[in-house]
Amino acid sequence: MTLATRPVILLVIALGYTLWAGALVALYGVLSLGCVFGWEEVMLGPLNLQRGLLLLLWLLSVLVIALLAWQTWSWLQSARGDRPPPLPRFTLWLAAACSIAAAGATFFMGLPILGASACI
Amino acid sequence: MDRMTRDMDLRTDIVLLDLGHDRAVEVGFLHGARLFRRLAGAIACLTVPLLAGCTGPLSTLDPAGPNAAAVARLWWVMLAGAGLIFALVMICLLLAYRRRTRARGSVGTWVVGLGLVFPTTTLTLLLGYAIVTGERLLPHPGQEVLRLDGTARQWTWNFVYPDGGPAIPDGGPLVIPVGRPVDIHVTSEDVIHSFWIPRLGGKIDALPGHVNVIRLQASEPGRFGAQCAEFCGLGHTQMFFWVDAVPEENFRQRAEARR
Amino acid sequence: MNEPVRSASPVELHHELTRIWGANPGLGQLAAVNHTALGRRFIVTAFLFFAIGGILAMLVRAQIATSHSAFVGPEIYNQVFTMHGTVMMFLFAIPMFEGFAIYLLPKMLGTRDLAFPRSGAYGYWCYLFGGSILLLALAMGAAPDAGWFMYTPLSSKPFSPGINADVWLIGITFVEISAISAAIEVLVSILLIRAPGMSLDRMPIFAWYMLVVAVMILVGFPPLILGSILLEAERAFGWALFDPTRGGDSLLWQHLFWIFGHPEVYIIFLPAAGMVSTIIPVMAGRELLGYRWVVLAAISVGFLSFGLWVHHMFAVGIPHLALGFFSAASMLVAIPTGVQIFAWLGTLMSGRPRFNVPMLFLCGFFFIFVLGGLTGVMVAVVPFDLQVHDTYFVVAHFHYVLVGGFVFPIMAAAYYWLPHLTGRQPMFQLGHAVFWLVFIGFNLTFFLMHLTGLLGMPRRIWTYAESYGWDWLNLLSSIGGFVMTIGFALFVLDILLQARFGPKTGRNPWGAASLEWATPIPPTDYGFASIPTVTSHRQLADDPDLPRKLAAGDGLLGFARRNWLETIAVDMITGEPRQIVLLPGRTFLPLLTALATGLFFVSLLLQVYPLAIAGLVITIAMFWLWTRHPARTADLGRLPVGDGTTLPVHTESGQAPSWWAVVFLLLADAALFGSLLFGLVFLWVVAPGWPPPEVLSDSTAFALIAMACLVAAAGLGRLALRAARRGAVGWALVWNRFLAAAHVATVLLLAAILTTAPDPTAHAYAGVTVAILVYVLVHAAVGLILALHVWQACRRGHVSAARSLDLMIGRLWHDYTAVAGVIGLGTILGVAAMIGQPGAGG
Repeated sequence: MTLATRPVILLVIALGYTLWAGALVALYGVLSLGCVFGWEEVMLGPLNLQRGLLLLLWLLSVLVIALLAWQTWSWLQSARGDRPPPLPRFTLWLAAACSIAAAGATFFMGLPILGASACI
Repeated sequence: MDRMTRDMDLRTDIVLLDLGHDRAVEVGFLHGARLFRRLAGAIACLTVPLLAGCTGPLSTLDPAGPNAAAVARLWWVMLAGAGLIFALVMICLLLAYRRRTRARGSVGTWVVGLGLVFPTTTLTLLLGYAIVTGERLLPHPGQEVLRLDGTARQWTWNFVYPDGGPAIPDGGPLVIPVGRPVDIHVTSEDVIHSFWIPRLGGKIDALPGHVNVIRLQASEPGRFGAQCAEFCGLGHTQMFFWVDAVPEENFRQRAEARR
Repeated sequence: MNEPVRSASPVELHHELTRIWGANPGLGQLAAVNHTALGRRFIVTAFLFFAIGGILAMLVRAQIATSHSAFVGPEIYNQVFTMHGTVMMFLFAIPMFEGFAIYLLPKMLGTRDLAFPRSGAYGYWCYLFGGSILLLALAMGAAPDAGWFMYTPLSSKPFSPGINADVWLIGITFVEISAISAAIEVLVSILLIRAPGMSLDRMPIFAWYMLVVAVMILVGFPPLILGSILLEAERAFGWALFDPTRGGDSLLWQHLFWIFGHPEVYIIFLPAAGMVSTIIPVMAGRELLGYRWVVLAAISVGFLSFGLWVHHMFAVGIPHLALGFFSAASMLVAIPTGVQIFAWLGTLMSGRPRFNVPMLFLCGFFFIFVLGGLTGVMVAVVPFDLQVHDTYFVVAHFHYVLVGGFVFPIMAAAYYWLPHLTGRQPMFQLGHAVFWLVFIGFNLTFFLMHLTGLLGMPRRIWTYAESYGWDWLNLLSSIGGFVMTIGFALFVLDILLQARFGPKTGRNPWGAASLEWATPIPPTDYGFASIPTVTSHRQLADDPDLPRKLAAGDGLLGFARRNWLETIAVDMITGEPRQIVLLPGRTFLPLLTALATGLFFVSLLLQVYPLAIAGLVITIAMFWLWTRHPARTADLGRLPVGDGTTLPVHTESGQAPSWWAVVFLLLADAALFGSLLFGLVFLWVVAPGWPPPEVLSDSTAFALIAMACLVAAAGLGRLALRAARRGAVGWALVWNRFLAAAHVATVLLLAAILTTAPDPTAHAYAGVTVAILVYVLVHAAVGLILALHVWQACRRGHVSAARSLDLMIGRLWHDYTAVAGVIGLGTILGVAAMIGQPGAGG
């Protein structure tokens, strides 16, 4: 597993949480801009524009990070057979675990979108 | 240099004390553990009278309004939960030192079960409770609400009822009606202050250039303390005022007396 | 000529290496740069600051022990509590774990020193001088008095007219240089300077924690550095940045501060957790349960801690949903913390824990830190926090997590590693008396504070009325404080007794498996006489004879070659040996450079600007002198390392430690730049008084040309590097000259734009715009200095096809400057265009 033993694996390990941080900034930003520009007054069916955008952004972020988690998980699985040395398995495990954790964190962090008031 | 040369002779290791095991510490620890158990019992017994001493003009544990009451309830629930979790951790620690019990070092039980699944479940429930409680305290539009403007400056408050109400002198006492929600629009003329009536609810900061709104309601008549809760310089400590919650009738009379 | 001459005996090898690596006695010790000396220095100095912070705390407790106390008035009280927080957070906690990390890491990693000894020494002096500025101000009654987090507008000039706030802003920024340089050094060292064979999965757990902490410092400190610079510009030059009447906002400071401030407390906790993870397995007699899960937890805490900062601002009027995000994230961080706690408990419960003083303190850690963590989850709940924010409940919470989570592990670590530092064992059994005094005193002081806060006592009040009902609670807290102080005094006595009079200890008194116990005890200036090759993660346990073998020179580099200080750099992930690193030996340069830097900062503080410019110029000149060390006029080629193989020298390799240091420096730089851009957008959207009366105009042409010059400079830098790599140093010189010219052009163009830019004292828009312009200008200027340095290096024959490190570093800088310049100037032009349109803007 050449990826698992090159320095770029450190970036892969960090990628999931970096995307989580980006999601936080994006959600906070869309929320703030939405209140300033009055997007919560624009109705799209049962939801207002701001809430809809937030839901979309949240689920999209979770999806992207979950895809990363799935990819790193499958790399880990393919490293399991035929007793490969521990180091590649270790770094791949870290990459998968951090990505899964980041996906979970992004999901949990966005739960308030389901109920909290956006502009008061 | 010479000391080092002596130490370079590594054939004889000098070990006067076994630093690994310290009998005095063990004895002290066991005494301490016993003492702790007794202390815990004592604390439990003292807790009831301690809790009786929870009143005070600025006490959050002596709520006089629905917001403060909701938060106080939240506090007792969290205290119970925290107590249980703390007890769990301490029991694990004490059990670790009992010579007879040896746990299985399974990553699944400890790390995943207790470390991951248990906190995640608890916290999800807590987050739900937190958001629901928080929503109820907000100044939602569309209610029979009284508006009050509170402007902070170093080191006192100016209060005005823009839609009609009693005249309030700078620094209070502030008069509010019982049983009606009051939306206080808070701002500052200079530095950051904070508006806080603990017996009625949480605080909101008074920021220069911004107006923040907090909704408070008194559910019983009385005199409550209020204190500036953001450090604002030399007079911060003195930035205290009283709040008088009076029955609706009384409030209307005072409002008219002003005209 | 490069074949090493082996010493006749281990003793002779020891003398040779000591002569090369050590510093001369007496004043010569000021020139010591090896990690053992520096680590000790940091630890001792940090402890002195802890004592000062503790005395300040006792002054606070003395004042509020009773209602209507007349001990001190508000003027002094405000300085006392501000300095207590400032000293503890900046001058004690960070330097203390830095000291432990600097002392322990090279030994644990099986190598001879950290990557940049002079940087480490420079960082220490900056810390000492910066801290001294604060202490001097305290002694003169001009200490900062606006709280340790210095909220604006209270800390702005109109409301803090004295020099007090400037002392904080400038003094702390000076100290932060030390934190940034330590972080870069620790990060590069952990990634690259390890024993061969120590792959990432064999790294000691403490190194993983410090890796995470180092990255956190690099990303978390720059927002505060930026905030401090901006606030100082507001105070000294009248810039409008935090003033709501001129388009600024006091919340900008809060965001910048807490984006630093929250990670800061995890930066303090994680090294202590790393020590706990190191000590518990030794005391339990089994490996750490779930090593990879603990690594995962440390990484998770590191990242998640950057998403919590608004929980310090729950009461400022931010919408509930936004607060909800941060409330959820604040609860989230308890999960990886819980993973660590239960990993430790599981290790203890499935091992055979021993009774000894370090474990006593770790039990105290469990008790206190878990309580603190639980109250932390409570304050993460928004409605509850709105009651207890800014009360003694929060004071109780953070003392529980900081004292429980940092001080107790440090005391355990002190007792655990004192035999290593001093070579001696404890003389009297004072350790448990220390523990009980501190433990009981601490709980008496702070447990009751939870109730005091719930009864409504706010923070930072210097007195209170009897009718509030807080009297007996405060009195008991103050008594507890005195008990704790006695405990700490006894701790000092115990340490001194052990260090001076304790009987000699054996080699590995705790039976640990990590490599720091394989060095001579007490340690030498050179660490390991020869470098081990690691084949397992419990090397010392698998090979108990290792210390003797290494001292005999059986490992790698077991010789003194041409009076060089050598160690080995490895592949980041696999630990395969890659380079021989030539380190600098004793030198006064770091001290002198720190003095020059101090001249710069003190001149700024006293507002003597010509002297400040002189200080800056001298500092740059001194740094230029640093570059003499690894410079050579001929290639060394590959050198033997002692086991029959050869390795290239770091100056003749790609991606040497110094190259990586610049990569990580640029990471911190990017964090600062990102904060600046955030500031602009934040003010535009949130601050009152926008759009500004005047925007940047008539500068588009100059800005576009400047952008082109920056991109050209980056391209020329690459051409110069490629030429050098081919061996065509002449062509490298040519491209370099054009590169220098491009940067000169950029500087001139930006200076021209600045002369016509809107007045930064008139509106915050102008303040931030000018800040961005100055940022790009400074980067171009540094690029120019780098080009001049390359010029000199080429002329002196220090550059060759193999020795192109200077140009590689230059390429990093010029590339970053081009990207930052294009983004910065582009943003300025875009914002001006958008605001300039009628009806646009906040």
